[in-house]
This record gives sequence, C-alpha cells and structure tokens, in this order.
Amino acid sequence: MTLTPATGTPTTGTLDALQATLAAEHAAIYVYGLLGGRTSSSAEPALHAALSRGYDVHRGQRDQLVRTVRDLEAEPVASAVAYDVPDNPFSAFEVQGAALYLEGRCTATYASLIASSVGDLRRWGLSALTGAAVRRLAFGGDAEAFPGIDVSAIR
Amino acid sequence: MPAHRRTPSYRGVSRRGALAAGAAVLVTGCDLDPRSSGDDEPATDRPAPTSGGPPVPSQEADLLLLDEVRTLVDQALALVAATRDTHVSLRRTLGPLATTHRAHARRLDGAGRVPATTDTPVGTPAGPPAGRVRVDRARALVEVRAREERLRWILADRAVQAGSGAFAQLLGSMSASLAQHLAGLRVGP
Repeated sequence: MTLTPATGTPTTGTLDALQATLAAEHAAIYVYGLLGGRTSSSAEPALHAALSRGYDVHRGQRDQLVRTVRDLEAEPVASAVAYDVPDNPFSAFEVQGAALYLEGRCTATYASLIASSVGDLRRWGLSALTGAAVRRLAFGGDAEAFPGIDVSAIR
Repeated sequence: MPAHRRTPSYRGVSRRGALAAGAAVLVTGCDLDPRSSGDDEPATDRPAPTSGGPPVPSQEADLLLLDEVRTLVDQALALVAATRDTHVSLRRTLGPLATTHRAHARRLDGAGRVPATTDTPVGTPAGPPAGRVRVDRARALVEVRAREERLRWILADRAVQAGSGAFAQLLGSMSASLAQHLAGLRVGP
C-alpha cells in the first residue's frame, strides 16, 4: 500500500500523528523483540508464531511510515534506546498479556492517525487499526465494540 | 431484557426528517464538525456519497453517511437477531455480535443526536432483515458472515469518505470491531 498524502500539504497535526504512529511502531518492534526472546518456539509455538507475525507487521509498517515522513520532507522520529515494559513479563501468560496491552496501545495510536488524516493515509490507519485489533485476539483479547477509541471521550 | 417493539417508522421518518430539516444540532455530537482533527483539505473536496447533482457540503455529507450506516447496522442486527431466533444453537455464538451492533447503533445515535422515541429501545431491529434466515444452520451462519463482511467493508470505505476526523475514527473502529468478530466467527458444525 502506498502512503502518499491525499492532497495538498499536510498540516502539523497530520505530521504529528504520523510521527506519533512511527514512534509507536518503534516501541512495538522493541517490545515484540523482547517478548519473542522470552518465548520458546518449542514450548509455546502458537504464542511464538503470533509474536513473530506481530514483529514482522510492525517492522513493515515502521518502514512505510519512515518513507512517508521523508516524503513529507520531515525527519522521521528515531527509536529510543530502550522502552519500559510494564511488569517485566517472563511467563507465557505475562508475555501474552504484555502483547495484548501493546496492541491495545497501538490501536489507540492508529485511531488517532485516522482522525488526523485523509485519503490514503487514513486508509492506511484503518488497515493498521484492523490488523492490531485482530492480533489482540491471538493474545487472549476479546472482540470489542470500539477498538482503539474511548467512546466516552468522543463527545 | 424487555421485549422490543418494532416501529419501522422510526428509521424512515425520524432520522430522515432530521436530515431534511438541516438538523443544525447534529454537528456537535460525536463531532461531525468537518476538519475537527486538524487536516486542511477543504471540506467540499470530500467525495460525496452520492453521484450526480451539485457538490454536497461535508457536514451534510457526513449526515448522509451517518444515516446510511445507521440503517445498515440496523439491518445487520436484524439478521443476527433473526438467525439467533431461528437457530437456537447459534444464540451463544452470535450473542456478542448482537451486543456490538446495539452498541454501535447507540453510538451512532449519539453522534447524530437523533433522539430515540420513548417506546423504541436504541438498537432495536427496524423492520425485517434484507433476506430470510436459511433453514440450514451452516448456511445461515454463512449469510451472517457475508452480511457482516459487507458491512465491515462499507464502514471502512465510509470512514475514508467522512469529512469529520472523529466520525472517521468512529466508523473505522466499528469496522475493526467487526473484523474481530468475523475472525472469531467460524463457519462449521
């Protein structure tokens, strides 16, 4: 999928949302890497496979966003050296919970991008939101009525 | 849960009447105000949801999208409800989907600030579903899946069309929700 801006020059709000999404991808890649390193492919093959898929997806999305930000003649935000991972997960259950939480945070970021963008960029955000929402199911999440948004905060 | 009385006129008159009247109050609910989230594309550059005629202002276009989506959610809910009634073994399977459709309907009503009538619970299926429930359980489930998949696609498409960023976000989230449900909705015995 191309990620060219729809028309015109994007506003600061759109660029900010793009950069925030890119920052979230950096964090997701870091956390997925950490979680994957703590998961045995032989003892927990399904979880390991889900983590690997998530890692690959976020890497691909990061690369797309970096190109898009550069196309807008801006400097893509860099990855942090390290990220805080809540509760320092080690068991399979904790790893699953951390991945579930991570994808939940990602859905909120993608939802913000949708609200701040138009055209292809919004379409990209929709695809990313849907992907993250469905990935949550692999980590024990349930279907939600409004993934990524707090409906009580809309008004 | 109380028995829901069906009032087909609710969908056909109240909402469309509000739209026809211009419904100035509608713009503030879920923030259907165009360009609410910071992008600078002129509102009138949005693709209009209908073809032909003069360009439709973004705010009015969003209201038309809202009306369309609300109707489709009602229809999807009606099919799910009828399928659950016909196939008792699917009641549990389709329960979460019915709950989600009702939540979506409530939120859309909040977005449009269209008041519900006192005798019509929000999210009540309005009129018969577009299509009968199949006698065969597996086929009935296939029908539900097909309807949900179509609705999911339409929600995503309308999210791209929406003039308001917040409205786009809502529709996108609803579409993602249906993707979750569809992922968990297995077709089989």
